[in-house]
Amino acid sequence: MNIQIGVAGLPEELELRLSLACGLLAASQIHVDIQEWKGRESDILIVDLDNGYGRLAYEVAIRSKLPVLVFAHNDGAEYASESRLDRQAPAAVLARMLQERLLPATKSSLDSFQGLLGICLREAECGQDLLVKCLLVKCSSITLVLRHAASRIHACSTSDLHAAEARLLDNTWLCSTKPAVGAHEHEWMVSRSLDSFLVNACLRHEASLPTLAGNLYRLTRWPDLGSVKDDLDSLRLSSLLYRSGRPVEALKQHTNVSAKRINAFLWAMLASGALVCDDGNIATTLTQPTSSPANASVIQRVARHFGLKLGYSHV
Amino acid sequence: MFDSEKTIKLLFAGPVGSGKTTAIRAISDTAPVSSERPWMDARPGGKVTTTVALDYSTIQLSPNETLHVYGLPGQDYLDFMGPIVGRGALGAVLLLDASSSSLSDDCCAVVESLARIDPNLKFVIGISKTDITPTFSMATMHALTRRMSLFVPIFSIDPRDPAQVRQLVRALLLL
Repeated sequence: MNIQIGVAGLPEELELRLSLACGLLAASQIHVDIQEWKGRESDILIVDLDNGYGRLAYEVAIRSKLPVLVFAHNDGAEYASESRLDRQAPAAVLARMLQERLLPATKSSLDSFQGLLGICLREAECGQDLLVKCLLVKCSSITLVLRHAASRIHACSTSDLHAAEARLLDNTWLCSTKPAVGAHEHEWMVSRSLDSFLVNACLRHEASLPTLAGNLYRLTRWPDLGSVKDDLDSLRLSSLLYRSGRPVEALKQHTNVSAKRINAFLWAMLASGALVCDDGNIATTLTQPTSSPANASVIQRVARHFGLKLGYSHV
Repeated sequence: MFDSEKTIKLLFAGPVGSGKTTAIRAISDTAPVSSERPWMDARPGGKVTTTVALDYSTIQLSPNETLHVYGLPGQDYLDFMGPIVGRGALGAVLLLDASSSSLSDDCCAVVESLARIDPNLKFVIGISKTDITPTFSMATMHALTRRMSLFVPIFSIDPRDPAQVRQLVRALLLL
C-alpha cells in the first residue's frame, strides 16, 4: 500500500520523528511518501495547529474533505480527538498511531489494489509532477525500476520482466522511492515501455481483474503499443478511446472484443495514467482530416494486408 | 503513364540514422532499392552507410495492386524530394532516434517537412533505440507533440522487428 502524506507547519524535529515513524510502517507493507503539502494532492495531511501555516492548511483540508491529522498543544474543540497525534510521542508510538488511522482511510477500490498493478495505479494518481522520481520495486529475486512519469520500466533482464508480468497481482511487491541520480544510472538494465508491459501483464491476468464500473472512459494519449506485437485489439480500443469517451458496453459492441479483454486493457491504461473517466461533456480535441471515399477503400485494402479489419468509423 | 496521384504510397521519414531503411526492409516483400553509400562521418560502432537519395520498395497487396514504400532522405539538401515523392501518399511513418541529442529538434524538423508535402498528411511517430537510451522519456515526447498540437500515436519500436513496424503502420491506418 502506498500513501502520500502532505505535511504543513511542522517543526524540523517533529517532521524528522514523523519520517522515522513512516519508515517503520514499511514493516506493515505501508509505504509512505512524505512531502511538503503546498496544495499538492495527498492521501492525508498532517499539520501543526500551533503554526499559522499549519492552521491554514487544516482549514483548507477540512473544506476539501481531505483526511487530516493534527499536532496541537491544547485540546481544542475545533478538531476531532481521533485526528490528534501526540507531539511528544516517540517515533514507534507515532507509527502505531498512524497505522491505526491510515488503514481504515484507504477505502477506494484503487487503493485496495496490492501488487505491482496497485503500485502503478497509485503512481498514476500522483500525476506527472515528479518527473525525476524513480521507484525501486522488488518481489522475491525480481528488481525493477519504475519511471512512471517517463512511461518506462527497467529490469535486470528480459526474463525478469516476464516474471514480473506473471506476478503483477502478487501481494509481495515492495517499493521505495529513489531520486534519479545520473543519466547513466540504468544503462545496464533492460528498458521497456511501461504501457506495453502493463498491457501484456493485465491481459495475462484478465480473469482475475475486477470489473471496472460502467463509466465513460477516454484515453488522454495514445498508449505506446510498439512492442505489444500483433495485438490488434489494443490498437482498435486505443483508436476508439482516443476519439471520445465510451462505456465498456459500447466498446464491446463496436470491436467484438470480449468484455474481459476490454476490462484488462482499461486496467492497464489506468495504471499507465493514460485513461481517465469521461463525464461525456468533454469534446474531443482531435481534428483528424477525413478520408475521401476513394481513399477509404484503398486504406481498407492496405489494412487488410496488415491484418487489420477496419470498421466504418475508421475510414 | 505513371500517375503519382493514383499510386498507393506509404512514406517513411526521419533524420539520418533513425532506422528508415531498416524499417522498410523489415516490412517489404522485396529488398528495397537502396541508395546507400559509405558514410564519411560515421562514428566507430555506429552505422557506416547512409542513404544518399531515397529508399524504395514494394508490398504486394493483391496480384493487381502494389503499395509503394518510400524512405525519404534525412539529409537537408535532399529535402526537395519530399513533395515530389510524397504527393498523394496514404500517410507517413516518422522515425526518430531516441539516442540523438537533438531528438526534439529532429521531431520538429521532420514534422515541418511532412507538412510541406501535405498539411493534412496523416502520420505516426516511431522512436528507435529507446531500449539503449536509459534517459529516454515518452512523457517528454508527448509534451512536445501536445505543444505542436499534434495528436498522433508515438510508439517505441525496434525497426529491425517486422512485427513492431507493422504495429506502427496499423496505428497509422487507424487514424
